[in-house]
Amino acid sequence: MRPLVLLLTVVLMISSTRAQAEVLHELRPLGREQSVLRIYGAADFPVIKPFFDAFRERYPGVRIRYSEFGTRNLYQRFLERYPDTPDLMLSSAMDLQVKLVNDGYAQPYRSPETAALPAWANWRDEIFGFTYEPAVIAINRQRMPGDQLPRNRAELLDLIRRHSDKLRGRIGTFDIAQVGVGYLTWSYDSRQSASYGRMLESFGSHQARLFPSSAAMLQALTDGEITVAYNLLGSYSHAWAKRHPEIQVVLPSDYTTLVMRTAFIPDNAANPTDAKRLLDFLLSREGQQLLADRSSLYPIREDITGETTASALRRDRRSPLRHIPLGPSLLIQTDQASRRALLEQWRRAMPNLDLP
Amino acid sequence: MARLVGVSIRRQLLWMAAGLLLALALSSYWAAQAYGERAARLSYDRLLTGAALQIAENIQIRNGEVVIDLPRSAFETLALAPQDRVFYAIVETNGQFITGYPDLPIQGLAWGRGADLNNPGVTLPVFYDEQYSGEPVRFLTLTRQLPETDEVREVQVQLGQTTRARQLLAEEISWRALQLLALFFVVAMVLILGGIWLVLRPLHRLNRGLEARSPQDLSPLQVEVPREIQPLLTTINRFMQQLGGTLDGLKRFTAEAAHQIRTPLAGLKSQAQNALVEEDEVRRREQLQRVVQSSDLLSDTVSQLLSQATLAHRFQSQALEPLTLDKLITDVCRDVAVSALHQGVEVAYLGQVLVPLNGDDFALRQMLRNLLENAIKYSETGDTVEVDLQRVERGARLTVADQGPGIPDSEKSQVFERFYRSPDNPRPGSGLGLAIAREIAVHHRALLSLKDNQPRGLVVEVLFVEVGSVLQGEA
Repeated sequence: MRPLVLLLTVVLMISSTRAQAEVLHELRPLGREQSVLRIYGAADFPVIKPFFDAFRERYPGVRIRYSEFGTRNLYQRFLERYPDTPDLMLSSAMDLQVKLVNDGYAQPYRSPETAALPAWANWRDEIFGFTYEPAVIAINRQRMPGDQLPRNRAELLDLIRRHSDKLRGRIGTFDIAQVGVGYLTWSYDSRQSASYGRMLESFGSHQARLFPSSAAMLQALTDGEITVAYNLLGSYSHAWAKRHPEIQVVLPSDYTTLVMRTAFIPDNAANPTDAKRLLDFLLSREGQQLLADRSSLYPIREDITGETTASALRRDRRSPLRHIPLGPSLLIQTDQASRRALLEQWRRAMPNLDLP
Repeated sequence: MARLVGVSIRRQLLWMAAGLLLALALSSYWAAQAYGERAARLSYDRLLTGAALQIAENIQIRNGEVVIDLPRSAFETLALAPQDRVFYAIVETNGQFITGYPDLPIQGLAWGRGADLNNPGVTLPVFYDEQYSGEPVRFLTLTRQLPETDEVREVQVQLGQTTRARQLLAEEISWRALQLLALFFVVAMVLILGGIWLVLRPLHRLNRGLEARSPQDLSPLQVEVPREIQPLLTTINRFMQQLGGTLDGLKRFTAEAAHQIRTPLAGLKSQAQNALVEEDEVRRREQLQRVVQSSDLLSDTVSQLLSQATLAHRFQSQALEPLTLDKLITDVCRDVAVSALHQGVEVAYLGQVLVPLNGDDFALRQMLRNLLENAIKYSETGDTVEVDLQRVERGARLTVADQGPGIPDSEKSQVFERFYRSPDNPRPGSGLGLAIAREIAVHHRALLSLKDNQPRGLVVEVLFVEVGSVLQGEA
């Protein structure tokens, strides 16, 4: 991590339950303070910090207050605190972000940078996709020596069946009740995948462990607590795998779900000017290249070079990419009845859940 | 008529055409807009209905509970309006809220519509527009009946969508219409401009034809013009012809007058010179007598010429006025009677009718005086000049008859020419009297003719074609 001279980290434990933490990171202005930019985000702070630093160099008078939440928590806090809103909302839980925009909590913004986005990454000029996230499988290779690693969901199920005892309690995935992006990918699976039922049954019968974040899952993989992790965010996994060669990242070859990290400016934003500047910088060529190079995120613009880019993903023909489009069809994911039904199935299948 | 001064026909035509076109374009634009809105509403209402039906079909009752599995396809249908927000609510008609947005506006009408025959168990959709979440939203409500063993439960599906795509489509349709209309307008204006230019071109040609000619050129204009402008051209040509005739007459008259005055003046001069060198007193007296006679004749000629010029001017400027011809004749007879008696000639007026007439008093007196003086001049002592006025059918006839030598038939037509003198005529005269009389008669649309008197002499007859009715009866 970079020196913490300019960085003041305040950790606030807002809620006592797991994964409910709100962590406030404050970045002092580089020059004389002129304004404060409040951001709610789901991205891990160390990942997004290089981008904020570059922004501060451009606008030295801005103090950034970045509140980091879990994706679902982010959504709930936003609604609880409304009409007190941040100036910018960044999250990978597209469905929850779209739900907020659909319900009228966003303000429109048009600029050359937003106009340059592909149509499917811009809904109503109110919410903008800025990076991709493939949902991937990660496996600790050391724990499965000599085995052909699974390339898709069917092979993953086959692996679990063959090593049933070895993998019991060693499969990890998101706690979909708590993690928005986990719910999004899981519910998308439930509608897309032919193997969804068997997957659920298999995860349940092997006492899958549930995690609040990709980082926690990757740490558990490295620590040997789990052997297989399902539906993690690709950017974190690739970055982690570079440093921990025992971790193998798999883009499922039956299909790979692509979610987008999205940003919107709330209608009640106190400082929309800086929010728009940051959004423009986020979508600019320079900002996107920065996200690719320094944060290992997959930028949405096609003209960015590097390993973690959409074009690089697309070149990898083995995995058909299915990106979830921005728009009203994401409302199904947030529908109360559908959510109740999906969580009901989930809870029934996961016997080790300590149900309330 | 002063209102028309400075008014341009071209501009009037243009304004009228433009106004008409504009009114036409505006009303068609209005119609196109209404059509666009209707077309957009119909097509997006269909999408909304399709989505709502798909949702309604996925409602089930499981273990006594209403369960809905929202179909992805329904929302993908709605996503055909990609920029629009979607709101939905599924409520049991007993008030049990199932899922969606709990606070959507409801219209009273939404309940109890007829069944949709194509979709059994589903009512026909009811549409309504409401403001929701800060935007105008098009809502649809329909009800699905779910039969159970002992009862029928009803579930209401409410689906709303913001109207951005509808507005865009409507705007696009009317924008296309507007483009077409603008094109139509421009093309029509160009055609009309061309048409007006084409129609007015003959007038310009006529104008150029008139402008281009020299002031002396009074020949008829040879310009091709359409039927409507032909009368104007004819009138112009006739006018020029008249002008030409008048000018010719004037030229000839001037030339003749100069000649007629120069010749007697030369004679006068030579007579006076002869008298100057004449030694013999008696012969000098005779010669001087002749100078006086020539001077009289010259003075007579000059006064006739002047009177003719006066008359020509009067004819152009003076309108005809009502007068009584018989009174005029007696006046003139009285005037000349005295000098006639000096020659031993008697003037008798025999007329007994009243003839009112529209005419030029001065000119008619001049005419009569010329005729009378002529008659007296050629009469012998003791003769009588008889003047008569009679009514003929619709007109009146004036006759002046003398017992002088008369005019042979061969010369009757020539004596009306100016300055014509019969070669055998020994009496002095200007040769203008009869010509002037004839001009005056013509001006009054009267016919002047010469006849022989019995046993000898001349009768000058003036036949007035139309005269007024007799007001006071015969005198």
